[in-house]
Amino acid sequence: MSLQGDVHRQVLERLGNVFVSARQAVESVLSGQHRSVRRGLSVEFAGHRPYQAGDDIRRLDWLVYARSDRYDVRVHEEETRLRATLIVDASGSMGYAGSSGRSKLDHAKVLAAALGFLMVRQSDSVGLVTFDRAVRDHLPPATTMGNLLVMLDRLEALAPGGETGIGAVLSSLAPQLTRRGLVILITDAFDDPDRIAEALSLLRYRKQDVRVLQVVDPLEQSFPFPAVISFRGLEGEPTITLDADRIRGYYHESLAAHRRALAERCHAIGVQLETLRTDEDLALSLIRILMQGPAT
Amino acid sequence: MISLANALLLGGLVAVAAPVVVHIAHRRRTRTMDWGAMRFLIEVVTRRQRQMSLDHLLLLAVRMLAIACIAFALTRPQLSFRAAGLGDLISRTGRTAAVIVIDDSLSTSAPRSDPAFVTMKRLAHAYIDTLRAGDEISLVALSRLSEPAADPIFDLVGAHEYIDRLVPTAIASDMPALIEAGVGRFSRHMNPHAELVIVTDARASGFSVESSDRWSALRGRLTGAVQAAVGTRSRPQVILLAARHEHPRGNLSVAEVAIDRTLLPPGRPVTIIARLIKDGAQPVSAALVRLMINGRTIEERTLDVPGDQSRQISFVHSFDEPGSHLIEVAVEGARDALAEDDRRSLAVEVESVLPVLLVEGRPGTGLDGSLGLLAAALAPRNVAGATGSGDLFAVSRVGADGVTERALSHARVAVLGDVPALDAEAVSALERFVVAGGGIFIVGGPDTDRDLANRFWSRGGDGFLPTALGAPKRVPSAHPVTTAASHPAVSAFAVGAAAALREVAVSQYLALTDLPPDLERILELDDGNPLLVTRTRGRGRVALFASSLDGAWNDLPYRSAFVPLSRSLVGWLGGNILPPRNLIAGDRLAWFPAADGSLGDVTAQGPDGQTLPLMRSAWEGHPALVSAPLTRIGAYAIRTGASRRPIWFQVGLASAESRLSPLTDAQLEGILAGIPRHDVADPAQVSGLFTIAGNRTHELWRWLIAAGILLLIIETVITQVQSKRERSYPQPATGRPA
Repeated sequence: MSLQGDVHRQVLERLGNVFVSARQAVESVLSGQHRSVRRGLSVEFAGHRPYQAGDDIRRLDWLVYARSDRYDVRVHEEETRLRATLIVDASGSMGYAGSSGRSKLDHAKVLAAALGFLMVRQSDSVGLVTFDRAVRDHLPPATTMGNLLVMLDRLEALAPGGETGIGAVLSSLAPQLTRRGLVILITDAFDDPDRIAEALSLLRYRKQDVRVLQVVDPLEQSFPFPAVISFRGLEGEPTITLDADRIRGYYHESLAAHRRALAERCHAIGVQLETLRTDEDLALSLIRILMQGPAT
Repeated sequence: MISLANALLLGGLVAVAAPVVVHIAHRRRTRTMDWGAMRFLIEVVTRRQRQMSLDHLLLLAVRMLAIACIAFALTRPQLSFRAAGLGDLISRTGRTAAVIVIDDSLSTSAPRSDPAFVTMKRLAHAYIDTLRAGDEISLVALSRLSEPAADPIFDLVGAHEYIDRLVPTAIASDMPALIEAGVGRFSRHMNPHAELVIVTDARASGFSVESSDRWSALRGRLTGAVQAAVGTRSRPQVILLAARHEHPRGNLSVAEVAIDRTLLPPGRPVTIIARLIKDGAQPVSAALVRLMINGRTIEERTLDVPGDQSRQISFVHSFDEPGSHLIEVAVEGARDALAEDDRRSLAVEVESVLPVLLVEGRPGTGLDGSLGLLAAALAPRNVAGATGSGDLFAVSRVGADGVTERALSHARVAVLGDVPALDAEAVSALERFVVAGGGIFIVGGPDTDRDLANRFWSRGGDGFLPTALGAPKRVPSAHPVTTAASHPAVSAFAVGAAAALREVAVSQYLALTDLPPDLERILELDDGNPLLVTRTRGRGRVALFASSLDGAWNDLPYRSAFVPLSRSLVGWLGGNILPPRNLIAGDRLAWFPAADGSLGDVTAQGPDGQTLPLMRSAWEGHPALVSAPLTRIGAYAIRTGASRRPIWFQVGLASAESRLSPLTDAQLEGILAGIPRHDVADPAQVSGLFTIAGNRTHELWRWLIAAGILLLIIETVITQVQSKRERSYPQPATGRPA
């Protein structure tokens, strides 16, 4: 089944038929998060807003000032649309498929596609960035259905591979995100938390509302393996043979420390961190994500 | 020093490698899987590798050490501190494995006034008194070698009781066999310090000093591994407890009782010959020699025997009735060392008729045919056509096709006279006949087919033909001579009658080839070629005459020697009474009725009048009543419900038991050369052989087992501590992080 069909089956159908209230909630969440075009039908001009320090003085509406002595600036339709960029981690570790046979990347792809659908349906613009150690593909945001289909095609063709370089990739992307927008990073975050946080802070500095969706496999959390096992890395790491029973405690300790560090750093810079397990219901995960307000 | 009781178990230390092997095997069975969260595993390895390796090595070491302790404990190590100045005394460096071999042969009952066996028992008791609780004991009596062993025992009281129950038996002394059996018993023992104790009356004949090969092999077993210390099970301490008693009056024994006929017919005189041997220089005078038939005294004579001489006494007697009879010769008043050998018996069967089957290559009647002249010699009245034959031999004459199982079942002897060939069934029947105890007499001649005979009758030495037949040989005139004068078949020619055989002229005969080593030559020709040979096949006897008996190749049938030779030879061939009735100590008495095979109501009595138990068993494949091995010498009688006359058996003493000459030191040094030993003759000196108090020995196996158990407990504790530490780290949240 294609990714589009997968998304339709897993997300949209269920949101439409089963969780009507949830869909409404999604829509309301989306509507409440930014000033959507649905509030006005104008194509060119969307309205005024009070002048804020830093606004281009050339956008002051002098007619309003003349009539009411208020400093208002004109706001156009383009500015009210949400510009969302979905950044999907396609490194080798995302290719891990636990007992379900569904890899983290598969889960991430469906998640990204679903978010894309929902946003385009609201006439928001959605773009896509895929990466491993560097940016593999960059599709700029657009509101058109054609752009969404291109995004789906590229997601569908996406295969895991390469090492993880979240910090470097986000750092390289930050200069390109000049306009305020929403950045959703879908990754397993198996990278240095400090470097991830440093890169995320750059995005925050670029006035990006950033959300990190950490996709994990249940087996990676529980580490339930018995006896001695040779673990072969998916990102070119050397094979390690270990007694799983004996190192389980140490593994849990290390994993918990990583998550704790990542959560603390994200919280410090106003980035929402959400952990999604590949065995969770995707629709419910989406609702949970979208119900949360902006981090700042 | 540390010594190992079970050094062979030292190989068990390889089990120490088991944890390593298990570890390696465990690692080899690992499965490989792809893993995404490698950074955490790498971090664990980087941070915890040293601690995990230390934990692992510690566990491995503890496990290996525990196994090593237990494996080493199985070798029974002992730490010994030997006190100085112990000299040649035996130092018991730990628990003792004692094998006591006891010669309970009949010679130990000499001399009458102070039997050696009493002293031997005291010596054995004194030795057992030196043992302590926990020492292992094997008691091996000569008379019980054939009994299943259930040793070693730890019961010192039981060992004393065993010694008390022993009595001298009629089993012939065989010290090499007894000592070899004792050495073999050490394989059943576990205790480290090994002692082989030989309790004997130290007679030269009992030690078979002339059997150098047996003693050489035995010395090899006693010395064991050269590098082994004396006192170990592979090289035990040898202690000789010898009751060396003097026999100043010497010993007179009835060494043999024999008769001069191979076949005993009723009403005919038979000479009974008793051979008496005097051992020792002291003469015997005015002793009484008594002949008894079936327990009744027939004749008595006085006897004087100078020292170290043998004497032969002959009696003439005729048996009136056919059947089983017992001849006994007893010496009374000899006042010698050993009483039991002053009497000897011989069980004989008096037979009124001996059925003989004559198989002729050229059948004939009267004096014609291949065996007509032999038939006349055996049964003259029958050949002459007299009615109511009184011949001792009941002769039946058949052709080659008359050899059947049925015909043989009525005969005791089958004579094949110049038979060209026999069919396969006849050959098979003859083989079974001789194996079961029958006698076969093969006579050559011009018609005998040598190739067929060698192929089917001889079968490479396995058939009933004593030896292979060669080509006929023609000589001008050859004369037979006796080469085995004592053989019953030619005993009639032994004294004064040898010339009768020399009169015989042989002109042609079959050269005998491939003579087997057990072949006995009875008659030879001048040229050295054998003329009459005999051999034992199975339970039966076979004889081969290389020439003919029809007068064609020799003139024997026309000479005076023919009749006595023929009758003696055929009588000897058919005089084989089975099961045998003249036994030696250790044999089993067997009896079966010949008529219908039913065992019926049968009772048996021993020499002392006690009932002898008989068990239903088999003798040479026939259902029979069989006794336990007989250890008492004397006459045994079997009575059936149908017959009032007993069937006599006798158990004789090996003549070597009567020779009481002591084993000299030189002989002892010769047979036990190179084997350190300790000789004691006085029971009071036995305890002085050993130094127990001067040595301190510690068994280490208990400590090693304790250490092994302690290490296993430590291993468990370490494992639990490690497991607890590993589980003390935070478990992952199964859902969303808080």
